[in-house]
Amino acid sequence: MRTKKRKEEIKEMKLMKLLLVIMAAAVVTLALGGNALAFHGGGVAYCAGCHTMHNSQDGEKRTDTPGGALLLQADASSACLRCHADYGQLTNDGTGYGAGGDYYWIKRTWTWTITRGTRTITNNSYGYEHGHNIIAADFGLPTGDPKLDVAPGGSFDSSNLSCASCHDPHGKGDAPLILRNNASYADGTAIFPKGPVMATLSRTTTPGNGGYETDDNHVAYGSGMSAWCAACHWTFDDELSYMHPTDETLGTTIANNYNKYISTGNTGGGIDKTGKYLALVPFETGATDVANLDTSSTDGPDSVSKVACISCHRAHATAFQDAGRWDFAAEFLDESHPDGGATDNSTAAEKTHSYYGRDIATDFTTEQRSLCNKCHIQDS
Amino acid sequence: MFDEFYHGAHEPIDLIVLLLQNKWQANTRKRTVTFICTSMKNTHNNYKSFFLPRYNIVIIISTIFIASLGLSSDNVMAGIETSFLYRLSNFSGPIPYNWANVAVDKERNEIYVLDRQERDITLFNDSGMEFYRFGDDGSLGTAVDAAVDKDGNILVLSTSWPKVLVAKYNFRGEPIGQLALKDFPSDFSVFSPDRMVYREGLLYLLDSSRLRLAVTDANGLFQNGYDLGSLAGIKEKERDGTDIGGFSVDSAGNILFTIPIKFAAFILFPDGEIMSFGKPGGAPGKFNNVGGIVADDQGYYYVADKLKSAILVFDKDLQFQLEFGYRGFSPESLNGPKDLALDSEGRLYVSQLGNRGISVFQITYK
Repeated sequence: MRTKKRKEEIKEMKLMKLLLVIMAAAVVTLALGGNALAFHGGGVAYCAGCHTMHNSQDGEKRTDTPGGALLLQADASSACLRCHADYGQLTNDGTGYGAGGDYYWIKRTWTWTITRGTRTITNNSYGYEHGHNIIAADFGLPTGDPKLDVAPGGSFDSSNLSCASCHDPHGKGDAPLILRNNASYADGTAIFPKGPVMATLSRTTTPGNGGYETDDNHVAYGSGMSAWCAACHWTFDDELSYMHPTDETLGTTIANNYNKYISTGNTGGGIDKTGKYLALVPFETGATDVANLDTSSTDGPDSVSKVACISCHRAHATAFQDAGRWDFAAEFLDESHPDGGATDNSTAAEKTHSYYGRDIATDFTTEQRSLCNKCHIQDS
Repeated sequence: MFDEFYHGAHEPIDLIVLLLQNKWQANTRKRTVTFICTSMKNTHNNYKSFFLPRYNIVIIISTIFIASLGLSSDNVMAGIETSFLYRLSNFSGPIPYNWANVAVDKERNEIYVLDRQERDITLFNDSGMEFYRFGDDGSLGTAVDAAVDKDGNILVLSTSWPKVLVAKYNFRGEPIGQLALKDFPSDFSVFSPDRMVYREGLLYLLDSSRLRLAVTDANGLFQNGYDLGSLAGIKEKERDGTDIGGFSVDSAGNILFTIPIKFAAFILFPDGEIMSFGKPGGAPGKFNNVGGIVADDQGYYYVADKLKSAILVFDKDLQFQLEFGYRGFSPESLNGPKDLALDSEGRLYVSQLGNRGISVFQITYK
């Protein structure tokens, strides 16, 4: 009997010790935790950073309606951009030179006129055509895509499009850029495969910073990018749809074209891939291990490199229609819109930023045609 | 939760819960702290063996310690009050700026707002009414910040990487020259300032992503340079992606800045000493994502929190005093406050998102 009682006392003592350990852990967490951690440190921010649990602040009920998921901000993208707008994902002037591009451009519409005989024709390059129309009400993007109800090539509802559609703010999984990873939406409109293999840069993409894209400082794509985009744009990855292939090896001919093409009329680069990388036309190396990717590599492609969606488009937005890396509609790229105010309503700075600081006339030629020719050489 | 814990425990226990009830009363703008002691006694038979007196003391002390850590910043009586005045306006009403830059000419109490989206600068009088605007013809280029010198000339910082330009305009917005930035040392060879402050004949140029600050004289001649990242204890591997969120120089020449990713604000004194304050969290007095920071002549520090949508006020001893704003539809509500400025009449200018423009608050000392 005495033994049983003693055992109970020992159990109680153990419980007591457990309580004390928990309290000590709480003390350490409260006293030290967080200061040394970044906002997404440990994969996830603390909840109250973005959410209001009781629609209240400082003991008082808020006078507005919180965003979905009890967000403090109007919507998910507005929450993300509180921080990431400063890093260059939505600048005030188009100076976000990241691999994904700058949402600034979906706020900018170019208008110009051309004269044919006695007729004057007004042309537009609408902002909503320049990229993914995320909804970010606090940042002047309240409505989403005015034309497309669903993702092109898929069925994802465009009225739900936000940063969080593609990135997981809670950082589940181990995908680069916290891209959604082996995840799907309940309605089946987006089914993400494993995140792509890619080596990324700093998130700060304004000129001169770590995420600023140049030919020797760029995201290095390995594999899986096109399949990942196809989570929403699934018919665009359908080999039976008579579309430009993606996730296909270039083969020797196309790889050689890429390496020897310098500009319109100049294909004298030679087939050696050394120093031939052009960040305006990236490709996947085929690597399945990020350790084999180099963000400073200036090598052009080889026969096993692959064309991907991002070879011609940027993921966020660009100055051009269809989120093109170059102006698909321009006969000569030096006449792209924005043209710096020559014929449209843009500024000289916007023209410069549209090609990530490149001067097309200087870096290529005034007669430079579409960069489709980088692989297909139809302008020599 | 208590119920589940109580019934789910293998061993019967009793709990004494000591709570600090901390309540902010908005109507009186006072805070009350109440101690509550309660017992949850169970009916089982080994109450005495479990509830030894020495453990009582440990539990109570630990609870008080935890509670004080969580709440210590709140139970301070505020020495100031703030009240909403108006938003900067023209004859059409409040101007719907988004994260515009604000500078104040304290000698003339005129307010200068750089709208980076529209690429123009608007001048407001001390009643918050627009009286002049220039640059809307595109002449400012890619302007990133503006300041006013002692003569009332307007300095405009433009960065077209890697070129840095400080242009000078007269009060009519007519260009009257450029500052040639000279004698910068080699460790500033890669330097792309995006913030600028003019104070007492000195020009402070901040590269917020490289965490570097250069100080020049009024003619652009290099005087001093600071690696704010090192001073703030940012490790080399952390620098990429660590930015300065807010920056100003107070009337005593102290350099104030915030680093959002560290949930911290910093004060760099002229003698080189640096001090920091701030804790992460959603509770009053804690930082979510900090932006602008300014200090008034009474020694109060004002810190904008973009995520919390509030302004936090600390006294000269860095004790939290109050916070105000928050999202909402009330005139005094704030949305994503970022840039801050103070004029000589105790008015605080707060730049916001969501077309909320620039709200102005009157500061009153008790």
